[in-house]
Amino acid sequence: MSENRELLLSVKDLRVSFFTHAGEVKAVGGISYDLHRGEVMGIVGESGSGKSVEAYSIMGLLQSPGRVIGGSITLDGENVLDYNKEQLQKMRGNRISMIFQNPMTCLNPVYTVGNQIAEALTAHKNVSHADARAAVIEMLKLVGIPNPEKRMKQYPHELSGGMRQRVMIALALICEPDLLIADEPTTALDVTIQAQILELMKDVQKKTQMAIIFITHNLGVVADICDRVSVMYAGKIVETGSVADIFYRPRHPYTLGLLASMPRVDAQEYERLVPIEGTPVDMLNPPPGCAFAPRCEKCMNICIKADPPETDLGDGHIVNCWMEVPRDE
Amino acid sequence: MIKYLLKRVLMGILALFAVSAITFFLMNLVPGGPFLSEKAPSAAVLAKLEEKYGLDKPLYVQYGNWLKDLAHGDFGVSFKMQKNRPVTTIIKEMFPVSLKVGIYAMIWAIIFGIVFGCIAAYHRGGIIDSVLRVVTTLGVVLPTFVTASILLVLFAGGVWKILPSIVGAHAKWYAYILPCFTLGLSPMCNIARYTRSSMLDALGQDYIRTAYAKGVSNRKVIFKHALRNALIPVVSYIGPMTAYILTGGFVTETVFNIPGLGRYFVQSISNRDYPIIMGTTVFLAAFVIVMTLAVDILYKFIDPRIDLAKEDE
Amino acid sequence: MPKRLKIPSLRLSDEKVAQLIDIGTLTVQDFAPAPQDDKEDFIPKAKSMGYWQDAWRRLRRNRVSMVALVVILLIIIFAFAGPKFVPYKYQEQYRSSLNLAPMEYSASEQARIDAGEKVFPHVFGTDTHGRDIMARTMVGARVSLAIGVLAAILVLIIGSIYGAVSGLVGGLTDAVMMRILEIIASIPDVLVVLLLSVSIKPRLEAFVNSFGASNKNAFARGLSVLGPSITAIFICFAILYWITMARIIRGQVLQLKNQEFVTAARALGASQWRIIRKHLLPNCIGSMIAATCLQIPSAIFLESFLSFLGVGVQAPLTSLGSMCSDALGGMYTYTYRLVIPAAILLVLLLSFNLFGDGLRDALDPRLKK
Repeated sequence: MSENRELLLSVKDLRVSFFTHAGEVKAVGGISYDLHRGEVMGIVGESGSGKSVEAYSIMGLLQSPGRVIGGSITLDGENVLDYNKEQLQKMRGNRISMIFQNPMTCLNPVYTVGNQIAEALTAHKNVSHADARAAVIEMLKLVGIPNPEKRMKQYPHELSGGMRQRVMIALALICEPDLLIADEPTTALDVTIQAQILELMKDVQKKTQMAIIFITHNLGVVADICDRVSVMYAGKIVETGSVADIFYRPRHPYTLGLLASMPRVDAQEYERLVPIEGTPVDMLNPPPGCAFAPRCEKCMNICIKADPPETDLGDGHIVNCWMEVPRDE
Repeated sequence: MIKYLLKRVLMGILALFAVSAITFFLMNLVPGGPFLSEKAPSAAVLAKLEEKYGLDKPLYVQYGNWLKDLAHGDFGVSFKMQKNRPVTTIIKEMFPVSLKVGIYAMIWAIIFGIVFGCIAAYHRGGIIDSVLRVVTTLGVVLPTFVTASILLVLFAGGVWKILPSIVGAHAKWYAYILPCFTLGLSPMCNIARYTRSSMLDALGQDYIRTAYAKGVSNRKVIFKHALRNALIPVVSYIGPMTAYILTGGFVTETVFNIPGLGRYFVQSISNRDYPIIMGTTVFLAAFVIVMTLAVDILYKFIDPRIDLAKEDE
Repeated sequence: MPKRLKIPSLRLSDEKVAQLIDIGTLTVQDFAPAPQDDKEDFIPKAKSMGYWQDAWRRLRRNRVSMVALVVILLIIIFAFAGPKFVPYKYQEQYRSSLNLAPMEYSASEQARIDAGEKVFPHVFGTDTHGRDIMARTMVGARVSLAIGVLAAILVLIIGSIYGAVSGLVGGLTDAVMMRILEIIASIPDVLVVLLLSVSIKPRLEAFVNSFGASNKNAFARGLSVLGPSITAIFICFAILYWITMARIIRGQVLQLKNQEFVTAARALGASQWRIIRKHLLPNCIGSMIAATCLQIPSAIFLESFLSFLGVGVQAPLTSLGSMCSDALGGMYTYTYRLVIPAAILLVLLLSFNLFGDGLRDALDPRLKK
């Protein structure tokens, strides 16, 4: 399905490291994927797996001591990593927008929300004050904020968490970007509000046909909104596939573990949730082999020695695990 | 809001009451009276003088009388330094001089403090930042009299003789340079330090990341989004700064011979001119308290999150 | 014969191919389950660091603070060990050597040098009374340091008890105690300190003298050693300057009191005293130390301010502040007399402040990155 569409973003062997006083932390250790126009891709992983860092490097928002040390990020045929400051600034909020995890702290407390949304517009487009105001009101309506004329004059602290996340979405969408990066947009919200925001994002995506990279640690959220899912562990993508592949035909032990640790509504009878034992590897001194090996029940001798290669299982279902490497016995 | 104001005003009055009581009884702890210093008058004359100014009565009666007069806006009259002139007149005459020096000092302290603070925050961790850190810490710890004497040696004698060392009653504008610099140096450095740390704090906030993600320019992020938030804690320093500048005036005015209230206060202590000590102390304390309250209200206008009515902690 | 690995339809990056070649030929053995020990060895053991170790590591990385610490130590050596190496007494007036410039010798001393005798130089010169300025500076620094440290300890004791009681008891007690604190905070301190030191001094003098020379008790002896003005300074600190410390401690206690680990300890039946000792104190101690360290320069500062206005330490004893004040008269002619004590005072204040800042950053776990 997605093969027919136009390629929007292509990430090739992206490597990001943090140079801390203790040494180099390889937060992202070479990941590659393609994203087409209008496609919604989920990136799932536990905290510290490098999923946010990867998103920040696309936006050019990596902060010292973080640095992209290799690979390429191609947006519409141009390498974003070659952009200078001005080009990055023109891209951010205009071609790629981002919304963040905590809507409580992501809006500037001393400016009205209308002001902050309008700023995203005026930063890229030469519009009159009245036009900007009209656009803000229309945008607030689109994200389902009632009484936008009144709301736009309010300060962030006067709005609820769900409202603020809606404002963040309005702010991200006002320049009609090609790509929206949503970094755990529902994690800090109540479950009922989470569902509303997800509904809203699905709705908006349908209307605008933009691509979305949806970063989360919650597999349930992914199933709801994404076309394709990549599972990240310790800075690497361990498995990529369609939602159906990941949920019904998972091959990587980590994906299996994630699914087993997730409660299911459709459980046939009493099912225990199985946690993944152990803790993530120390990213400061990553061992040579597969990063998941120490926690893997099916760990083999080779897993400790070498990183597994990618294995294409067909239909875009790719897994990085020695167990899936075809063997000639 | 009104409830808050009432509470604050009440607290202020209580504090003033405490200040006046402490001052009054401390002052009277000092052995000897105002009329004993030079040639001691005869016992009869002394008794007459003490009766005239009510010094023969018990302390608590004297204090009660003083409070009663104060309720009518009367600080009493000077015993010695400017015989029988009302203290209010003396304050009216001297305070504007102190205020002038104080305001100049404050203006330069605020402007340069914020600028230096922003520069340091912008270059955080760099050489400029380290140099500014040492220089501003030095400025904070420099006692006023050391600054004043170094400046005098440098610019008013000793090394170069380009500025007057004394600010008389009819001094030219450039005579104010040294005292205003002296007085404003420590607050300036304090403001620079506050600005730096609150600027760094603001720059680390999530909304700054949002602003960058919107595609706002670096300059606009710093000056629109970070600075406005960073200045909020700095504003709260203006209250204590007023107090510092007024009391710092004691030394500055003494060293530079400025005919202001601070110098007069120091002189009145050694002269035991009770009404002047009392009047000046209470007046200065009231001024500081009112300024602190004004700053807190100003705060509300800068930071929309603060709801004074709910502020209880 | 080990089975060869065939890699059909694999998209391998160059690096991965290189890795495979490195390992050489893969065998069936490679695909056998790994023993548990190997898996465990795989996880690198991170060194865990204690609070103090970690704080010390952070402090050591802060170069400015370490330099400040060294400077403080040097000044302490100068002030306390220095007088042993200088043959001049700080209070003695050498009539033949009035108003000497640094390293200058008086006529009589020059004569002794010419006679082949070794004469210790007046490194910082002498003052109008012929007193050696270096010896006086050493004693002055000693007095300033002692006042600073003692006043800071006084503030620590009063402030932390007041703050801890206020925070722990809470409720109405807390409210009343905080109102009292607010009133004290809104009093312009220098105003009161000035009055206080002027008025307490003569009283204390009278008090000490009232015992007579022979039958002084320990308390009066202590007072006369300290001198009335230094005692007045301590009284000022005891009355006015503990509020910052009390606020810090109260804030910490309030914050900690409601934290889960304290609730958990309480739920497990720990006594109030045990909670204070095991949970609150260890968490407060960092900020207490840092605040005390920052209090020292503030006390030295206040002492020098009072000495300057002529109500501080009295002759023949001296402090850095009163030396500056004494030097003001001949400021233009004998600039070195002002510059030397002022410079030492400055360096001392600066070092304590910079070191205190560094200490606060190092000891505050919330700033831990």
